[in-house]
Amino acid sequence: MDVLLWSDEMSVGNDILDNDHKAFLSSVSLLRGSREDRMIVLSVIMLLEEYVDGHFLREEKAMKAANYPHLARHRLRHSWFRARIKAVSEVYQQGNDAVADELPDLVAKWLRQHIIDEDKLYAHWVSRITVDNRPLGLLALEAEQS
Amino acid sequence: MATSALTGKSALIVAADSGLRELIATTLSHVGAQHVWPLADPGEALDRLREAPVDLVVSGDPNAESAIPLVRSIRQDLPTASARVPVICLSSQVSAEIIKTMLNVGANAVMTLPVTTRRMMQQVNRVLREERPFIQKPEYRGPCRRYKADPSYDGPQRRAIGAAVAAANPPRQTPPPAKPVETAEPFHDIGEVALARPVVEGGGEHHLSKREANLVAGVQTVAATIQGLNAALKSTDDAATRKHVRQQMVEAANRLINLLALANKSGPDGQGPNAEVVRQIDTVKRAFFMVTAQIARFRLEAIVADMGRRLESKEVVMGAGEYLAARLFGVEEILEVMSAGGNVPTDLEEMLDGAWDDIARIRDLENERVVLLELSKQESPAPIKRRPVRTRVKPAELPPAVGSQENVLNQLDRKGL
Repeated sequence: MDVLLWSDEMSVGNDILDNDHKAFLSSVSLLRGSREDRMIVLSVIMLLEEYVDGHFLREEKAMKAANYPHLARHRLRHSWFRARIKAVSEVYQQGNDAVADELPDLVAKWLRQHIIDEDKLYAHWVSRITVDNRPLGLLALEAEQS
Repeated sequence: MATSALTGKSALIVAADSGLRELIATTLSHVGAQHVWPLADPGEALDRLREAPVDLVVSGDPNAESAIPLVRSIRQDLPTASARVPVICLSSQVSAEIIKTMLNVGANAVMTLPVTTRRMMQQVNRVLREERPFIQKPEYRGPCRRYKADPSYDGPQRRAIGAAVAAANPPRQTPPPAKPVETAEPFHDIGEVALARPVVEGGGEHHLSKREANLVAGVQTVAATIQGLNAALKSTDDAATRKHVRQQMVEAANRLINLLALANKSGPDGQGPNAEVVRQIDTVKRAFFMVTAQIARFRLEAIVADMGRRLESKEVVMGAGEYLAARLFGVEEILEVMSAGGNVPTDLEEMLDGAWDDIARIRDLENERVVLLELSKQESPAPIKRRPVRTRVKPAELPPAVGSQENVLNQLDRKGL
């Protein structure tokens, strides 16, 4: 199975959050065809960094509004995930181009695992609240400023 | 609150390179574009623009000069409604001369790769919101190329191309410095964490490999973070400080995990890092968990004492439960970080469980007060909206996905880092 493809088992029952997850896979897939152009690869990696900032803020706001009892644990998982993306970004920016070769499958596996193990747990809770539907870029900006 | 001028609008992308085309499309989607048409062929793009105007055109080509004919055609050959569209040109490298040419043929902005959502949003907001007249003269058709006149300026009116370059390519923003926290009392017993000196093995000269140097640099970063956490030990338990502590703690924990994993791997020469480096990592790890445990304990005891006073006197003001829950949540986050290393003292866990029970009791008192108030008004009491009772989440094990971080570390190893 192609890890970059969306599957119904990944749905958290909310279109906005599902679309974020699909956008992430779509962004990661850009790396498969653009590894030779360093500036494009770097752009995609930086895009992923911004994505996780924006999307995680959206999720955390939703979980907080829903009084989700496992918010602390989930935020910590987000921190692990963010740290991994950041580590990859740092390594690539230091000149290790090889890290981009395994990046698509690696990052997609992280995301799939995170969605299935963690995100699905909040599905019931966020079904009753309104999720912030602003563009990811704005949320990333807010995450940086908050 | 920041907004995006592209929210709900349409954009046309022209880029022959499929990777660049998709990158721009993704970036514009993140900036809020509702409809994005990615096209490879400039001729097809011009046909599409003839059919109906769009809100924005982004042209992407590693070779900046390639975009010039397209921009010229948009301005010169299209009906006015379509010719007025703001155009952003994106390229790998541009010289001041090319920027000048592009602006002179009618581009609104010129950007260089790498592109980020933030930079794209800056440019999109600028070109969509600026009130720049559209000039239609035989020799030029496009956005006015004059900058707004500064009434206080009395020097020669020259256009500075350098300013255009700077505006089009602002430097990457560096994160603001960490917010300082109040220090009430220093905590001295954190062992040796000041590791600014190079590692010397056996008292003699030891040349650090690149890999060891990376490890030592990581240790020094964590040590500095621990010093910051130490300063926050008895600082005010307000929302801003809690957030600062959480960020510092998670950052240090993440770096520690990376350091420990890297230290446990063999280097390219088949050997692990020297014993001194391992010792320093171990020292900083113990210091980290000692400081985090101290912070958690100090804060938890303060919250428990606060709740005890309120419960004993039954003087619970409305909102007290929410306030205390926010403080307790901060402690829970600290324990979550510690649990990843399997270092949560049992008594702290039990104290936290008891504290959540007290929060529930305080919320019950708040609800009783609401009922009394309603009854005193001789009205039917409104149904009480009970908040779900928080229960302590049992300490989690290291996230299973951390194992996949091995792949990144393998990459590092292969490169001899």
